[in-house]
Amino acid sequence: MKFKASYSFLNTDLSIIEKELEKTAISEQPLLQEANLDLLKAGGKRIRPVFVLLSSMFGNYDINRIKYVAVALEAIHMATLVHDDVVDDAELRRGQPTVKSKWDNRIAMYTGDYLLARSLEVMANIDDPLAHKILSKTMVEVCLGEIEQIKDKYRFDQSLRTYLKRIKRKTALLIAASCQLGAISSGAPEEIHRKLYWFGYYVGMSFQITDDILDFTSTEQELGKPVGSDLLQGNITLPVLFALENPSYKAEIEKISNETTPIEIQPILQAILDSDVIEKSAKVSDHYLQKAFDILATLPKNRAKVTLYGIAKYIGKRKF
Amino acid sequence: MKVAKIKIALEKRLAHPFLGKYLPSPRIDEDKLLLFYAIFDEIDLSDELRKSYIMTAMLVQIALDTHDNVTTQHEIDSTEFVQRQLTVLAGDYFSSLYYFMLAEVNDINMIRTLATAIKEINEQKIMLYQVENADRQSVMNSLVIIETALIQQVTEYFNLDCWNSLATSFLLYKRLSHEKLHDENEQKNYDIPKYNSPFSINDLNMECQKYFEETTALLESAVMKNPAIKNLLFKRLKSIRFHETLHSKKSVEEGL
Repeated sequence: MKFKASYSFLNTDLSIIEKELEKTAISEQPLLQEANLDLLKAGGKRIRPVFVLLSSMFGNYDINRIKYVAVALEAIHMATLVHDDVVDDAELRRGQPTVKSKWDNRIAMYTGDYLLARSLEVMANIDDPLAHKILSKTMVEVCLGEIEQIKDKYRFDQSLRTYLKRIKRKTALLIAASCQLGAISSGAPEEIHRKLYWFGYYVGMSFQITDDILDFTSTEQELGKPVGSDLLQGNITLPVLFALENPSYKAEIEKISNETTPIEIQPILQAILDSDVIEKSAKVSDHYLQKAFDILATLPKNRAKVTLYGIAKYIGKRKF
Repeated sequence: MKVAKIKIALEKRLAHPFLGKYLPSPRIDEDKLLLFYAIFDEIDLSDELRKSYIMTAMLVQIALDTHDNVTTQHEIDSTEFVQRQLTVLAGDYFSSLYYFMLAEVNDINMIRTLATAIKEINEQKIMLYQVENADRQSVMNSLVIIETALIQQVTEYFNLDCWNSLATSFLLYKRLSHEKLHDENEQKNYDIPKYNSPFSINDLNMECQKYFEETTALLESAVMKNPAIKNLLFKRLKSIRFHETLHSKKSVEEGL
């Protein structure tokens, strides 16, 4: 795969991180260990560790230090997913049964809490107070964003600003923190780590908008969940916000509630695909991607910069 | 009393308008708050830092307790579903606040200390939750960790080992008296649904008596800077005892 090939020079260090992640999965409780290992085996893009490693190349790259940040961020991400599956009542993730589906909600809560604690234990190996201030603030914001997401469900009168603020907290901040913390923990200057924060932020915004588009344009097989799940669950994403500007779509979309069935939603999904809202949403995603490229252009030249460019381009334009 | 002020500050920190609309106010375990207050009162710290430490330890406790309330039923109505979703998120939010507060006071070692406790507690919660017919000793070991790991880690961190026995005994007594109450009411323990308690009511009576006496003795011999706190701990202990024996007495009188 071209995407992974673009950062194949990180493979040795990524396997160190994978091994460290396996260590975080070890527990005296067999069930907990099994749940953790299932999560690890399910894979995922490991985007956050990749961003941490690449960003740290703008300072003094030392995998034995950087690995703590990369592992902590991935473990936080995994813990969040376990709890999100309870929130979304999701049976499958990446085609595999979720922890809550294999066991139950309570086991999912304890597994997520355990992983979160492990991630902070690992992160505590980084003795830089600024790194902890940034990460902890990010975590508070992410949680507040998730609460806001519940509050905004089926709220069809929300503004574009509300949506952007929500995806910032939901996705962009953790990617921004991955980039910034990678740079901070390698001792990169303030000017550089701040730029990397903004690079990560813009890429994260573009990534989430693309994700929201894929909810309509992808297939169930590619998504690992039914097409249109976001809308069915009342999550008002950018394509829906644009569709709501059209009075005839608006009337139909506003009928959607938690009682709506997947079949009832099909005509709306088709109408969205037939309109220009996907294209309009893609333009917004491109706008953020361009901002990311602009920031990147101001960073010193190195191999990481080229790779970050490629990754940003890929995740902003990905098809699934 | 300063402990009351900390409780108010904690309530303020926990308050969230949308969570408050759907969920009951987070339960603050006043006994644990008092114990943390008593422990930190022994350390030479500024009032502000002491307050931060107590609040962060309590935030961890509240976050963990909140996740114990996440329901597991499949057939629930939409309001119950939203409540469940928000219970998950509220616990995560309280947990993030603990990290945030300690990062603000630059205490990275304390972040690690509390994280270790959280890890241990969740391992034991899973043990109790999923193992059917566990033996008495392993259940007791798990209960000790669930109830006391936070305080144990904190006291070890500040080299206040003298508090370990007292806090362990106190909290174990409280937990067992709670178990006894469940048993007498023939209620399934909501914390641990699959768990078939290995304790008979006689076992619980004996254990409660043992830990009550042990806690009383430890409290009597404890040397504390502030006698008012010692008195408060005694009062709390007696209050738990009162409820424990009152209920037993009622059960006997009602022929249960």
